[in-house]
Amino acid sequence: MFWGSAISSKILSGAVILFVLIFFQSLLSDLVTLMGVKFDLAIVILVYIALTRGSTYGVVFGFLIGLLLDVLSPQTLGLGALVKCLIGFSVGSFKDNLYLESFYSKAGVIFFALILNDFLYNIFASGVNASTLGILINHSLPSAFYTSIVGMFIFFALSKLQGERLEVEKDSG
Amino acid sequence: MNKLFFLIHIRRETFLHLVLFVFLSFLLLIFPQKMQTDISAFIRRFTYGPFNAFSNYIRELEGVREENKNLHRKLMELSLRNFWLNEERLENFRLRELLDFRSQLEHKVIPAHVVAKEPNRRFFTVLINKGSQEGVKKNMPVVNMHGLVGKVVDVSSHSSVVQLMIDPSFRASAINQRSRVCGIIRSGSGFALQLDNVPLQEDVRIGDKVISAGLGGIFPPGIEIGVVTMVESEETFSKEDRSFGIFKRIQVKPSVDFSSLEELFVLEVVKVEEGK
Repeated sequence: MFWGSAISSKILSGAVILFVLIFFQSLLSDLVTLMGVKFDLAIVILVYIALTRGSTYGVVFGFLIGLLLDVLSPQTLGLGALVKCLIGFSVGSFKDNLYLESFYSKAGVIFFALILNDFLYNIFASGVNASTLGILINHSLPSAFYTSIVGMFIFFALSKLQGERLEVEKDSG
Repeated sequence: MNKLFFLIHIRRETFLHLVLFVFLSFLLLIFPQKMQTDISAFIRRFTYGPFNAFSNYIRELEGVREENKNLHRKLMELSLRNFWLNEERLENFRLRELLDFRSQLEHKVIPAHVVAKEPNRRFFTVLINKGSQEGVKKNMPVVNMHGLVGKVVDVSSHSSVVQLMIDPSFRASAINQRSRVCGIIRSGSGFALQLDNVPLQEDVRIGDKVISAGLGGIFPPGIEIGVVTMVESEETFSKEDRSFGIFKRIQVKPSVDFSSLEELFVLEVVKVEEGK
């Protein structure tokens, strides 16, 4: 079962991931905003977890990441958690059904995950109206481009790190 | 068949997690607003709290020397201006007495820092580091040195949520500073605002300053909102837009830059009784 295997190192790595997200949101978020276009580390982390660990982890981390962001705008507490749960589930399911070897395709997943996230969030928060469309075009699209490009490099760095770790484990084994 | 069973088994487990966490999310969503605010404040205190305290400390240290120099210069300017304003204030009191006005409004200012912006690219609310313990109450107006920012919509003990003027549900009465034409300010496209309910025959020009009218009882009069950047009257409407009716379409560029909000002031409006 998920909970059984998640104990110890997996819980620790999960806590580290959430810590990184909180650190980023508190101190770095504004520094990496380019001409008003925000970089969405939460989506990058969520997509990475869902693609590498599957939809169950995607659901759990989607909820936790969404909740961490929800507390910053408490009027919609639970909405971000709900949307990110669904995103984690969807991306995790993609992992089982799509061939996602190249970094470009992973960047594409980040792009669509962010658009879907904003679309669902705005639909649930304020329904279908001109402002929802305006937010998607003026803010979500530029942010999706920016996040997917930077996210591609983060994925690349993480895969290198993971590769080196596997080699070290093989050598010591 | 085994593989199929395995797949179904995995999906069932994932499905159970999905149902559980979707249920939890809904549970949070249907909690009363007060409970949502308290839960958020509790989680924020243990997650973002230490980082926010650190970033506030660094930010304060950074600007202290430069700010000190500027403040000295400003103090000199304001001392001179204060002299003239005091003269005018006394004159104002005398005239008020003549007109039998018994009260006027004054403002107490609660300085606050923005500790978080809405993370979903909506930019409709920001979180500030002052709450009910510091005297902040719901519906208090919020300004910065450039003008009106919004109003407080949610208060917890040491933080509050400020609804920005660009939120689609925001409305405030506004007035053209030059021609004294009244209207209702609301969000337009992007970060722009729109001045509604201004009849076609009224005098509004590009470059006119728009300030708060103080009619709704929330915002005090005279706070700068923005500058008129576009006025569409009947002649410039296209055929389709003629259905807009009897009002002008006026776009206002806000004085406040909503993408870089840092220091804000919550205004407490105090009614001062004057002895006759």
